[in-house]
Amino acid sequence: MGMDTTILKALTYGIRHLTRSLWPLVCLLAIASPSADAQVAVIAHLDAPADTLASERLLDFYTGDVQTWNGTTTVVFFDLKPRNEIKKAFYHFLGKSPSRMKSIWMKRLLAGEGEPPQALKSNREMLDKVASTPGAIGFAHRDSVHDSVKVLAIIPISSP
Amino acid sequence: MRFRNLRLGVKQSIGFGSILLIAAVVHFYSINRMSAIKDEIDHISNSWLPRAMAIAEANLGTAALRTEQLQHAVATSEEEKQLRADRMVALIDRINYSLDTYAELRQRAEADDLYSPKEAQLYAEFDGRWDAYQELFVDFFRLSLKNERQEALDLLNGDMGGIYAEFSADLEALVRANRDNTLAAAQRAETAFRTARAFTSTLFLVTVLLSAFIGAWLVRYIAVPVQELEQAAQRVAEGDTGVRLEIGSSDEIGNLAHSFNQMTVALRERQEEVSRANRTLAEKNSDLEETLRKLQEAQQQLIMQEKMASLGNLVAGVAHEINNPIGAINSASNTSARSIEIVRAALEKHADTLADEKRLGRALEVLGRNNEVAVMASERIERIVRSLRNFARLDEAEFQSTDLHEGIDSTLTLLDHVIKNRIEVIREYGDLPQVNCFANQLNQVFMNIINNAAQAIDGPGKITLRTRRKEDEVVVEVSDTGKGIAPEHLERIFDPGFTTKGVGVGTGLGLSISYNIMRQHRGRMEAESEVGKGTTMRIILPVDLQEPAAEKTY
Repeated sequence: MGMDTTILKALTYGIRHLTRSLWPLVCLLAIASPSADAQVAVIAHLDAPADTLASERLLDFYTGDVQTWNGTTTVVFFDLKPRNEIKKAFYHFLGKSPSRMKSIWMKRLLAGEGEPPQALKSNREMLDKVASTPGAIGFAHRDSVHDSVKVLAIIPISSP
Repeated sequence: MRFRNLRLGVKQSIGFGSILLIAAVVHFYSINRMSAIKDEIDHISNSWLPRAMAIAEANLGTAALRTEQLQHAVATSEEEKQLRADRMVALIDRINYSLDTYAELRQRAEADDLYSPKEAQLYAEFDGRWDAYQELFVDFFRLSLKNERQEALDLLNGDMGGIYAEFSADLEALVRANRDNTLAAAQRAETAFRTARAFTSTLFLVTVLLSAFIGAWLVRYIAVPVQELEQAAQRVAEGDTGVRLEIGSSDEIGNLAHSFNQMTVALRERQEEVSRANRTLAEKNSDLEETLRKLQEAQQQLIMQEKMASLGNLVAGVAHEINNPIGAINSASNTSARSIEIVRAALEKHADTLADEKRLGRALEVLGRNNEVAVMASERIERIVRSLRNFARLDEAEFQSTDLHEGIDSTLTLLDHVIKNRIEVIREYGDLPQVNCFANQLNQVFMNIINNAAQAIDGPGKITLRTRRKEDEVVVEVSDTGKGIAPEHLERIFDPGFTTKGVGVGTGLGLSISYNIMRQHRGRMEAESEVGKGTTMRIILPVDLQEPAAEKTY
């Protein structure tokens, strides 16, 4: 009976491994399929002195380690309140979970080093805030982005 | 091919191979179970337990954080608030460290498929609540910093308290889940251990039984046959060549038993040959002994015959020599008788003229009687001499036609001194033809028989001699009234050297020689006797016997 369970385990493991290795293909199909709306744009105020932004640099802004654009314009970063696909994709891009980011901000707050970002209630508000705040940086659904903000990076929304 | 017919090596290989196979199965199964146990221990020590500990640590951290938050809210001095804030930073680091550790463990666990969806869901719930809690913390901290104590405490005990209770429960559930997994893994390890132990013990027992079986088998198929072979060899060594072994198999032992059987058969055949040869040898040896005995007998008889022949020669010579003087005495006596008659006639004529006529007459009478005595004596001497010459027959050819009565009479004459007046001899002669024979030898036979008859009679008695012809045979019987021969002696009387007479009286060869003489004449010799009444010896001869060709006489 011990042997049987061992074999069964091996079998199930094999099947799972197979399905797991098939996931990228499934994802690829999902991405390739119709909507380009499955994308998040990292956006900035039009005056932002950069055209692209790597995830590391973005993380530096969001953790508060780097507080200015090239030492001149102060960085103002925004968070999104609803835990939707856009927020998930963005945090995934950052490489930190929302709760972990909050821990960082909490530490900064406790140390008196800075305030946590303002958590905006919607995509619309995000777009408006970023467009209207100099040195602002945020993220929004790509399809909703228009000329009022600058797109620094495009993040695909990967399935959970 | 049947198992018992396999060669010993193959049989042993099968036996030990099966033990080896069991040992291998036990070994590999045990290794497999031990690996399973090791896996479970690995899972416990590298996955379940560390994760449970990380979560528990995080839980402690959040609890401590909450205490510090409370203290922050109620702190009255700036220093106090700063101290609490610093402690909170340290606690957040500690919580983050625990959660980082957990995340790392989670990654490994997912790769090892040790991360359940339930745990993932629980963690996700916790993460969300922890996120919400921290979000509220910002508001709380601002209130606390502004010393709006009541509002701060309301928030802390209100919304934040609710969320805290929820995520703390999540963390506890996570700890429980990992603890349960730990226990389950331990349980599985235990089960694996138990099954391995049961399996190993069972197979050990099987191995023991198999070994015992193989041992018994070795005894049955090797030791016992070898022992039987040894015992059989022992019996053969002790001389029992009738041993046969059961051939139970066609392996080396069976072949050995087969060869052994062939060997014993060959051995028995050889033994039989040897004993046959021995018997033949014994027979030949006994023949040789018989021949030697006959040779010795013949030698003795030859000596005896030679003696008799010498004696015969001597007697014949003496008789011949006696004949001449006897002839002289005879003629002198005749002349004397005539002279005496003349003197008597002259005396009668001149009787009146002679004065001493009476004395002369008496003298003459004495002279005449003496002369008669001399004549009678010389006649008797002549008769004896004739008998002697008759008996010896030296002047005649050896094998000749003979009157048996003449031989018997001559013998009786020669035995006159034995018979004397003591024994009455009765002759009952029948009408016999002339018989071809060695007369002198037959006379020896008569001499023997009649002499024996005379010696058998103590004091007065009778010897009756009967002769008759019966068809082509001549029968001579000599019966005496002697003391007879005992039945146990009767059958041995013809054996050479057998005698009942005292030492020096007889040689024991007489009848034996007689028997041989009769055999040489193709005749036979029979004896009848009754103790106290007498003995009858009978000799039977063929009438028309031809001279035997060079037949040996012994």
